[in-house]
Amino acid sequence: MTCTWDIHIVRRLSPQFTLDLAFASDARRLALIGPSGAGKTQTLLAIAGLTRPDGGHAHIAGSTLHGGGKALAPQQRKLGVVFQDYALFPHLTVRQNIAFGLQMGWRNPARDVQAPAVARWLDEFALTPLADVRPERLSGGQRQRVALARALVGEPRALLLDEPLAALDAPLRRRLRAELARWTDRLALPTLLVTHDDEDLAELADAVVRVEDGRVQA
Amino acid sequence: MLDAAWVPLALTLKVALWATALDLVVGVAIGYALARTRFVGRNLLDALLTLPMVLPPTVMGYYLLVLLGRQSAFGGWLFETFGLRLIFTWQGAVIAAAVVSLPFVVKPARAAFEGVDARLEQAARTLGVHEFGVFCRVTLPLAWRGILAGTLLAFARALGEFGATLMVAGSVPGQTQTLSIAVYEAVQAGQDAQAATLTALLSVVAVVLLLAVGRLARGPVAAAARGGA
Repeated sequence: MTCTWDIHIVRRLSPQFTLDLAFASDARRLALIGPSGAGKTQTLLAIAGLTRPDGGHAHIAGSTLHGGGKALAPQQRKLGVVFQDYALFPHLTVRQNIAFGLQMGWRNPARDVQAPAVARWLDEFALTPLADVRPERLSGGQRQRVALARALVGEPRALLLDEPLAALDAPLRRRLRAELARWTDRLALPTLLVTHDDEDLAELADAVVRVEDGRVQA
Repeated sequence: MLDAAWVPLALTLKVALWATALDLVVGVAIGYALARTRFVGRNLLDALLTLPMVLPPTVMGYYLLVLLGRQSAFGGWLFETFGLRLIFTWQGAVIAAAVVSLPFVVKPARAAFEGVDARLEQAARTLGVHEFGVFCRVTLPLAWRGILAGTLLAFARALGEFGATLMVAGSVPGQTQTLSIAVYEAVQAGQDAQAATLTALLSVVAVVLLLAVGRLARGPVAAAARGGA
């Protein structure tokens, strides 16, 4: 049988600490929760193919990302990743950031890049008036929306969110949590949320995996 | 008079431009490797690349003579294979200037690459862009200021190269006699007016370059470039 999430990551991070995290779930919106240093972000990076695990497997909605002797490059995994602090490209405008993954090759999209998908997501996230602005001039909420739009424009098979609310102060966190909940609800994409904050669970997750010291807690 | 200044100036510019071009390619590659990869001997490589800054240029010139001379394995191979003679040629002067000024590119380039958030490169990878694209579209645009500042410093250093160039390429007027060597020869020959003209010329070029570097590089990059100078 195929689960939405069938993940097992083994990675030796230091002589004292080996990540060995296995979980399977059919929840569309799954949260990995645990204290910082528990290995949540390392798990997410391994699923995204950005670090090389020493063993295990990753299957998402029936697609094998790694396991059984093969491992897809991060470029081939078709995962939308929203990083902590969003990792927007500071030298590109909002429009160029969102169009980044639509243009392959060695050149960035032009400042006036026209693509239906870009226009759609700019509109969807109410970013059209800010399309020609660079990320430094955006508010926290606007940055989050750009990061989401950039991750979604390539029609990923799943969304990975790494502590998307951690860097924000409490009132903004509440507001953006509600906004994020609305989006993850509407998108109908498998979504994996990494968080250390129990308050995120009620609104953002259908099921929870608790992580401590590199292991899943029963 | 003017002609006597023009010939060494043109030669100096040719040698310095070639040396800087070499430094740019080699220095950016090494700076990137030092910033982004972990390998055995990384610190040793860094120390070796800093040597041209602390050793007297004559010592660097001696090393190059030993390495590139036709009696040496490498120099012999160059001559046998390409018919390339580096000792007492302008190409030899290019090599000497490039080696001596290489740290001026490597250090700022390394600092600039280290200043680029690795998360941005990771984000680019998850968006499907291959490694060369990530370098051209994310890493380089965010590091180019530091690299360019270092390149200008390397050019300025190559313009003024004396010791290693004299050791490797000698002082053949019109062929390897660069401005700095021409100044030395003019003073030795008692041609004070000639020496003064050449000195003024070189000084003006250097000041213009340093002003350009100052404009380009600000903040941490400027600090790294100054630390390198």
